[in-house]
Amino acid sequence: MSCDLKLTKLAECAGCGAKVGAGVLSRLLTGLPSHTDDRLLVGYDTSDDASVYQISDELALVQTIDFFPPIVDDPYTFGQIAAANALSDVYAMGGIPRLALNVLCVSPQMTDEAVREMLRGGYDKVYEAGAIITGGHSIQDREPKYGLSVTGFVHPSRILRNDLARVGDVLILTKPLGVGVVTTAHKAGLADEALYRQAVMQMTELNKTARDIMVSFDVKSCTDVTGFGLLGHTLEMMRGGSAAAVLESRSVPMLAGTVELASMGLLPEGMYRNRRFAEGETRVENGVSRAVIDILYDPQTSGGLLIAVNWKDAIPLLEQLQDHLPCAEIIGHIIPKFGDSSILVV
Amino acid sequence: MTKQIDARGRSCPEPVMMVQREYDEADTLSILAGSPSAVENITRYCEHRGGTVTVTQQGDVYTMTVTKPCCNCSE
Repeated sequence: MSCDLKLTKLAECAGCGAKVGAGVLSRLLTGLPSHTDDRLLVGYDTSDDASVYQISDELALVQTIDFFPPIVDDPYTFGQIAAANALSDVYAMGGIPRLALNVLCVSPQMTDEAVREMLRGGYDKVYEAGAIITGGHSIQDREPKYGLSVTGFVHPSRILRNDLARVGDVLILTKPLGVGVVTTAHKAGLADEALYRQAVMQMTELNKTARDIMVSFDVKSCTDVTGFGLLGHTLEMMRGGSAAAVLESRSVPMLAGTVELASMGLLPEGMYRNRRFAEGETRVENGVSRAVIDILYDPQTSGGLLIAVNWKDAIPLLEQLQDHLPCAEIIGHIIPKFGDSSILVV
Repeated sequence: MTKQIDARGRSCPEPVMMVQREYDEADTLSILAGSPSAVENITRYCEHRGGTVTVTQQGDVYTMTVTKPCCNCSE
């Protein structure tokens, strides 16, 4: 079913590029009353992908929420992307999603057909993940937004936090970077159609396969790369700890053509927010081009998993991932922290 | 010929699109931008096209002057 409505024209910011900057978010949350519970295994104090609450010796509940304005024009595809993005946080914790609630903002410029298509995209993606939508909440808003609150489950001893990367671990990224740049270029009418279709298809893909494969290996830490970009999410993994990440820029998978588009200044506002957040703790070696660095800061929507795996398991894990996710690559490793930098880009 | 472009208040990628539309026909461009990110995006575009960019700032307004490489200079 096709609609003539172009959803991206109804919103100023697209996808995860609309996220409040990490630095701003941290400031907003500072000083709020903090209460905890002995059963809370993961809270928001480590900026992790989801909260985790112990139910029993063998079961913990994983809870997360994600929603954003349209990043593509087609309502069904937008619903798919928003759902995949929300479900990803449960996979990043090593969990399995089971229940979801719609979070929906309906613009008066949307037809009923468009709203239904958006929801249908979300429902289909949730069912593909093996979960169900059990309700939700919707409000009227000037700009449309869609996403999900997702509940999943994980064994308490198998939670993959984002802050437990070990010195010697190898970093693997399961999807290429660049969707922020590509969707921005598409808005300008400057993105190759095949590249745009590839970016859209990638955003609709669940991180379920990556999760199902990685949990069989010695992985202690994982996150998904979304609105804060690769460097922003890597910083969240490293911050406050005694380790640092070395990222090999030439190994980071990027959608073909995105370096050229970045060099043309087709960069979303979210890239600059991410750069402000992470550049103070990121050292970039000479020889890494400005355009490549831009893409490392590029906000991703429904991006891949960033996995920190024991170096002994790195090649076997990568091989299995690449059987299903051919763009997965080893992109770096973890070293003892040096100076003030948590990330070194080489 | 100097092309004047007012990109203030425009969201990405509109500032770059505005410059792209005028770039080829202009000898120089004088651009008003309203945010550091617009300045950076426009600068990247113009430098990618071989131009030289200078920027001055007064309050929240950035005035950019873009000079294109001379194609007809004699040796």
